[in-house]
Order: sequence, then C-alpha cells, then structure tokens
Amino acid sequence: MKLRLRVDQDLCIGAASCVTIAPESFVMNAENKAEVLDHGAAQGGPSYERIIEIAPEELDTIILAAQACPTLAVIVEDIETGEQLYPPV
Amino acid sequence: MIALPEFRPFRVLGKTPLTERSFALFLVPDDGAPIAPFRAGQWAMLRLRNPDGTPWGQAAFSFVTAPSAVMTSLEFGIKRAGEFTRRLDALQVGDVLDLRGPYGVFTPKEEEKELICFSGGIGVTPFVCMAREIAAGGLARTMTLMTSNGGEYSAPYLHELRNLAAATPALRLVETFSSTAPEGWTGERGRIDAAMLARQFPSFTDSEIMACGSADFLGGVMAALEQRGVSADRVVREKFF
Repeated sequence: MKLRLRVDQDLCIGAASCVTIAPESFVMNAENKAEVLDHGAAQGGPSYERIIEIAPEELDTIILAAQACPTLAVIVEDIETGEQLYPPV
Repeated sequence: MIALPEFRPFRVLGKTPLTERSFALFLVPDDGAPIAPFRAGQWAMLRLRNPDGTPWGQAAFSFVTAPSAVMTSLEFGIKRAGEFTRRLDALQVGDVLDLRGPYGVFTPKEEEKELICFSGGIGVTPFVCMAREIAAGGLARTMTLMTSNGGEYSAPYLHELRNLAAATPALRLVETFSSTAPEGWTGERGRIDAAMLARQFPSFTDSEIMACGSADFLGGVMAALEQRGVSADRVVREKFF
C-alpha cells in the first residue's frame, strides 16, 4: 500500500515519540523537528512529507507512531483510497 | 512494546517568582506513583483542566529539576505569555493538573565534546537543567552557557547560574544584555553576534552546540554562528514560543 506521510512542522515540537516507535520512518533534524524517511532513507534530501510504499504489516507501527505524537503533528494518508488514516477526520 | 507516556495527575506544591514575567512551578505526583525518569533537556506536556475535570488545554515545558536530584517534586520555569500560562500562574497550592512525559531529544549527546549552549530569555530552562545536572555530578560534561537577556532583572535563573558556575569548574557562564546591562557591567552587551562569538569562543571545532529561545533569537544566533564558520546542521535548536 502507498501512504502519504507528513509531519506538520508548525505542530511538531520535538517530542520524538514517532522516532522512538518508527525510526525507519522518522528522524529528528537540527531544528528539533521530525522529518519523514522511506524505510530509513532520505532519498532526494530531507523532507517533512513523502509518499512511501509499505507492506500492510508495517502500517501498525506507523499509525502507532502518529498516535504517540502529543500534538498530532504526524498525518498518515492512504494514497490509494484517499482516506486520512490518522488523525481521524 | 514501547511504553508511551500517559497523563498523570500532579498537584501544585508551590510557585515562586523568577522575574517580573516568569515564575517557577513546583509539582508533585498526586497518584502516589514515583516521578518517571527523564534526561536533562527533555520536557513534559502540562494539561490544565476545566472545573468539571475535562481537559482545557495543554502546552510543553522543559524540566528544570536536575534528573539526578529528583526526589519528590518537579520544577518548571514558565514565562507568562498567553492564556495558558496565565491560567498556570493562577493555580493555587493544592490544585491538580495533568502531566505527560518525558518527551524530546534536546539532550546532550556527544559525550567527548565541550557543550556550548546559547539561550535567549526563558529559553534558558533546558540549560538550567543541564547545568544543575553537571553540578550534581549526573552529567559528565564541560559546558559553556551563553545567556542573552534584556536586563539582569528579566533574566530567569541568572543568579543561580552565576552561583553554579562559580562553584563548578565544568561550567562557564557568559552573559550578554541586549537592552539594560547592570551598573558597572564590563561583560558583553547587545545581541549575540559574530564579533561576540569570536571574543568568547576561540573555536567551535570540538564542540556540541545547542540553542534555545524565540525564533528571532535563534535566527540571530544561527547567523552569527554561520559567520564563524559553523554550519546550521551542527546546531541543535529548540524554539520557544
């Protein structure tokens, strides 16, 4: 499945919960904000948003990472259905 | 399974003024459980309640208590700036709020290097925590903290930092005052700039650099560091609002 994974940089205050739970998908930068990775890689350079292809069994970890954010700064969207998986809309 | 922090009730133990516009808030757990371990530089989310107990709002504040000195209470240094902090300031001893944490990775990491920190105003709080932890023997680092404040009386924790630096060989404090320096002051004056950095820091080569303050403060520090040859990705920043 394909996800659009985004960190709202205005909301992110550096809790790093997402990095703790899903280090393959998130990394902290020098501004103390989380950036998005694609399976540990930052192809094309650092980014607060990526479209990534994941196996279905990887989804739980990413959703848990998003849920762990105390400011709801991690947004997970299923590209194929257009559904925002987290936070619930 | 990773244990995520949950909100826990904490009771107000006391408040003391730091400056005209800031105060220290002391909290103790209200559920009988111990305080969760944290590292110097981390923070907690504080959540205020409505009269009916439902959540009113939340905001993040750095721990000021040295981790190795935590016994029964936690200290947060808070600047009154907006409705949330006004309500925090209105809390009375015994009132209960909710605390979730610790969070964050604004923590010293490169153990072998000198720690060089820059703070603007209330952005000093995570560094007070680090300085206290160094003084308490819980953090084996050499630290230079450069504080920037409008004046001496608007500088949170300044007197404590002076005392800590005087008593702790591993701590060096450099102060600058951007508007009103104390009478007879012979130290730095004005905002942090490249010339000031050149006077105070012979080199940034073997150092871990951290900065905390407002966006305006961080912009000035980053520009000054860049002029001294320090790239932005070497400076870990935490923006305070």
